[in-house]
Amino acid sequence: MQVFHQMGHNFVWNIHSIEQDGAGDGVIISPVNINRDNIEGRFSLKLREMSWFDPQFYRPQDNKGYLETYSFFPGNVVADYNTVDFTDHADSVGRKCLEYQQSLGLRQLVIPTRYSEAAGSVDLEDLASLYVEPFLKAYSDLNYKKPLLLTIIIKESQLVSEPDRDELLSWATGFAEIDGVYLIFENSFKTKQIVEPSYLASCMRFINALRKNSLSVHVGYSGLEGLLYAAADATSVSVGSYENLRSFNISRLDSTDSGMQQGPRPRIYSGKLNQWIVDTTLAPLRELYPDWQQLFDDTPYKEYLLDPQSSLNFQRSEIYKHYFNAFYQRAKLLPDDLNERTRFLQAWANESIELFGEIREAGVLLGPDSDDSHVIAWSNALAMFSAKPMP
Amino acid sequence: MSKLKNANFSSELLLAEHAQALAKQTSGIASGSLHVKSEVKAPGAIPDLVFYKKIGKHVHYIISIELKLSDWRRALNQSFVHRNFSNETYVVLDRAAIGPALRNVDLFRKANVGLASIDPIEGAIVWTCPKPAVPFSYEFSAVFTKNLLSRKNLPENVPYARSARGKVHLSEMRSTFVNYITDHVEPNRLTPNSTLQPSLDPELPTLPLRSFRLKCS
Repeated sequence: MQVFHQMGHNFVWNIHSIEQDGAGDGVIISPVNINRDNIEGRFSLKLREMSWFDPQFYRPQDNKGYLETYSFFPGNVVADYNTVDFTDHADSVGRKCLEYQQSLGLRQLVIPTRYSEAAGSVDLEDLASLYVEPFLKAYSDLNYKKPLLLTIIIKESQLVSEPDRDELLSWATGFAEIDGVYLIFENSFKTKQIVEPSYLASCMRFINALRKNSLSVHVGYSGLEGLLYAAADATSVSVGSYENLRSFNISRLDSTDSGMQQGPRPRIYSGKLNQWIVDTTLAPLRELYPDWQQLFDDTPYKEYLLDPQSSLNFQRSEIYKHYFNAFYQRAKLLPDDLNERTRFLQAWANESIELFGEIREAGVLLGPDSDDSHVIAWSNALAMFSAKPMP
Repeated sequence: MSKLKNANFSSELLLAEHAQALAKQTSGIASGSLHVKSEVKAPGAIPDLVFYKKIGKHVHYIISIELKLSDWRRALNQSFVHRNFSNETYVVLDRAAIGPALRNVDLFRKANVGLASIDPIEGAIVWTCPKPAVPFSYEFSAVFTKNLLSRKNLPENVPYARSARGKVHLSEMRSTFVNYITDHVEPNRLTPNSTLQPSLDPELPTLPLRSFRLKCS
């Protein structure tokens, strides 16, 4: 399974991580965060050839900030964007957007989607006529050969509703020219990690169904649970720095959004625990749990992060570079054989649960945002998926 | 959050005000040899009440209190974070909400966090006391002490809360502290419906005090 960097604010960290540390298989370029004129300067051709561009038409009416520099963005083509007026421009937008992606020398091309605020099913006919078909026409007219991905956002309500989910699956698998899906799961969980095993199992089944239709599946905005998707044969998952890149929320794509959280406590990724450990827990671990350093993966940043004298705050790049590095190492340890992968992931979850038990026994309270509830959910989700791998 | 049926306090603010008033009655605070502050900012936490002893310009002992109407589990997690910069930490709940916490008192002991309850008539009852300890983090203690004293800079190597004096010395200081804030020790008195078997902690004093009663095991 490949790992791509979901780019956002401070994307230079991602570039550094992939170019200097070799962590990651490419990046997903985010126009919300960069002026069009700077892309070729900031991303070397070598990096672009490993990467792709997310056109981010999620809110086509919002063309402020850097989006203003992309002439093909719907809000720049139609003043006071509305679907009726946009219909006349859809073909030219599709063509210009694809031509731009092609000109960057990227590994694959992307058909964007728009975000629907409505809780129920989205209007798939509307999506097809405004975005998918114009892009497919342009792809064919321009005789492009690079793999073509279709962007899909699937809401929690769609995932659990059989008719909605089946309709979306039928729709997504109905375009012969499409090579794969850029898949984004949207949920409304309030916890830092997903602790609903049935939801996770449903995500895995959805991925599996797409894969069984010979589509590549690139899961965007994924968090630690991305590792689980390997059991469903996801082609790639993503890593991101701030939390809004590890879980999809449309507000992250506000062109006025700074992309930063309001000063959360710094957290350090532990591969063995499959969890982010908040800095206020490091000192108790140091005092009470003798093997505490072993919980954290060996990366060039580990020593700095575990040094109590480091002035950690959530904007330190070392936190995220450590995560990119450690997560990537773990993803690469996964076996190719799918059955073996599932057993591997189950063993990782069990090891984490055991370690959490030892930590508790040592007298360290990890708190709800750093504990093992999600790993228990992983273990259950893997079992549920193994028992019923298709939706 | 739903309100408790027999809650003594209608809001956390009222609980905090009552706890502060109680604290100010204690002889140590009244005489000025001990200090109390509310809502002092710390790395990753803001304890509701902080008792501390100051000698000269130096803070020598810190007790942090987390007040909650209910939700003992959340309070316990927060109080455990206070151990990064405190010598002792306590969860103080509305007396009406103490039952579920008492049923899980072993978790408090395991985490070395004290548990107390408060109500307008009985005052405060300490159900379990933590063992005095050096705060987990030197760095967090330094930041917290600066905030406590409202100082931007502290001289290097000041003997503030995380000193290297060792447990014995800390225990002595803690005993002094508890002398000030403890009404009297009732080692063998069981509260109705309580499963606790309080016993006298040899480290704790048996001196007559005013506002707080202690039932430590």
